[in-house]
Amino acid sequence: MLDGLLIGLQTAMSMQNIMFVIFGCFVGTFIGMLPGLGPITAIALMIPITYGIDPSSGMILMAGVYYGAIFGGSTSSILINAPGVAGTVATSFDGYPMACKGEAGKALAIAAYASFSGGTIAAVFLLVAAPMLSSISLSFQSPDYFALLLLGLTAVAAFSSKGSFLKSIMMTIFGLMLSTVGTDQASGVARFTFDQIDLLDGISFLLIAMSMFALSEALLSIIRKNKEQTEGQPEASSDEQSDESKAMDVGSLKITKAEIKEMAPTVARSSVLGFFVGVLPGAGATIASFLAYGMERNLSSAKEKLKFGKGSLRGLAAPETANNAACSGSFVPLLTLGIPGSGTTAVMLGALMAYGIQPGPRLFIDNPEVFWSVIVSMYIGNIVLLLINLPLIPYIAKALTLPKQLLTVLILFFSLIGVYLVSFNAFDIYMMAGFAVIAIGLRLLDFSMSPLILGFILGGMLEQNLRRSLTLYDGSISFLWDRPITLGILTVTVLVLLMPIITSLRKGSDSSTGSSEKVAEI
Amino acid sequence: MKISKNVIGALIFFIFSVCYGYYAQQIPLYPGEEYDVFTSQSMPTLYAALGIAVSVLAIILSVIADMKSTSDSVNTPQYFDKKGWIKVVSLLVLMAYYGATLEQLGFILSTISFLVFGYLILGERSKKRLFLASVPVVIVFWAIMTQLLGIYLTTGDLWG
Repeated sequence: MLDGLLIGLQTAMSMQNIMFVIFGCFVGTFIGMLPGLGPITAIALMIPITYGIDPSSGMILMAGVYYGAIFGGSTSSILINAPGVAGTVATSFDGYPMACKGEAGKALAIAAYASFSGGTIAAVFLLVAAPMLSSISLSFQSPDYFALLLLGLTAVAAFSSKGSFLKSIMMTIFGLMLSTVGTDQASGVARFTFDQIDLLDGISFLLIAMSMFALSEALLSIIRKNKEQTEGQPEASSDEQSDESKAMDVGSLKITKAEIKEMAPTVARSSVLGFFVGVLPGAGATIASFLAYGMERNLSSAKEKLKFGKGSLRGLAAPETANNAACSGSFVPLLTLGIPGSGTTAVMLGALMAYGIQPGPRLFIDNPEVFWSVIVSMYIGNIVLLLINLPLIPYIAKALTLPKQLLTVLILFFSLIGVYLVSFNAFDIYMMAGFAVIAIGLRLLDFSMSPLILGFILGGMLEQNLRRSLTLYDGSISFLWDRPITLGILTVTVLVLLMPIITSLRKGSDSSTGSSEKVAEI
Repeated sequence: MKISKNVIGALIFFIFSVCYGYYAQQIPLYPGEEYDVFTSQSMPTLYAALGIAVSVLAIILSVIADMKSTSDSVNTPQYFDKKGWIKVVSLLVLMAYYGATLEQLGFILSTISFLVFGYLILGERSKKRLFLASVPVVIVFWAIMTQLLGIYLTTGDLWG
């Protein structure tokens, strides 16, 4: 492990890669700060740039963007009560009230220190857990992988965001269907190409990611009205306006020793919770942040509880620590099993595969520099956020005042040209417009995009492993129960699949069809 | 009875799955391949069957839920700007225009026109902003790509 760590340090500490982390954190913060644009969009926009550099640097850049986007989301949550990322919704509960009291600087500093601490503790866990799990998963065979892929797909759907379990399953299947477009790798037969030469290579993952996330988000932001405006609420009173202007005034970033002492146990608890929630496939930063917030509230005294929602330091530190720790945790299944635990890591998996690198247990052996440099760069990313982004926040926050019409068109441009620069095929631009229309329709019908992208990315692997398993077992489906590992994973899959159905039946509500909305967002 | 978004979504997915299943059966097979356990048709057929099953289940559960619902309105109110739709459609047309002109007019001209028209569609009228947010952005991007990273950007078929 020490050798690997040294390789990672050597790679991540090169001047070029340090610059990539800084750049990634900065760009991620900027994009994450814009309401509606989350880490998936930020990473998707970076992918075309990373194609020109080596895989380690590309992953380092994307890890920086990931952390930056989460931090940027916290900034907009605290300053304007508009979380840029679902994972920072809980941050706004106590962050924004603090900002309204004129303590925006302190709230931002707490968010940064809590994120740093959560990220640091989780990075240490990752350092230990990833190689361990990697060596265990070396004994995995095709049937185990097939079962694992099924677990990943169902878990993401089960924990899925706004909307319902069945809707997420439909999106997963839609993603799987899209993955079958193009030439079948095994037989060489063209599938669903409709005699279009441009479709023979299949649909590019980047094209899907850009259209489904960046393009559709940018276009939907044009038609989304401000809720209060629609409901015809009276304009903000002068007191409210002064609160808002206070919130945008960052002020002092200082935190006292007593405050640090008060938050230390919260940070420790939330880091552990966040990391383990992040490791679970499907659960992500959002679930981690809400769980940490709830846990902290439950552990507080009756007097302290009253402060929650009104600017509690613990209420701010808990979700911020947990969401960063969960980000690190979500890399464990990605790096060791090649199965992404969230929409964001699914996009990263797609990028890795585009580099010709297959994440999974072999990554640890075949590409140790990628494996270890990503782990090390996460820690460096946390330091960068603390040392560079935090002091720059008053300036970066100016992004929130940029004219929206300019930003929207620029996002459209970068998305289109990003995909075009990879294929140099104008047909891809038409396809992007088409997929953007589909994505808008799906979003309006409250379908979540994360299961779709996951299904699309894992579709090829699922088919390959099922084909291999059937070949190994002479066409018999006994591979499903022949190996204890496969059977164990499939049992968990069935339980995960049944969990939302049982829950909805118990509630007697219609949650399984999507009437109720979960807060969680992958 | 009002049809909820859940039913509409599931119904669309059902139709899509049926069409997908139909085309899955049209995937050509090599002679004798039909006797194999796993062919190019296998996975698409499985996905189609799953899609149909899940969408039918979703339709049934949604209809039951809608019937139980006491609320008059099944769908939650949406906060959308109706005028915004025209802008979105215009931007989609603009994207198609960009795809059509990129290789004809070349990167610089087509991108500048894309950005300017895009800003205009979204209501930007300041000439200074229109210029500053398009021409310098495109020139800097072009310089980074071609001069710094060595990536070729089309100069346009129309100009030879």
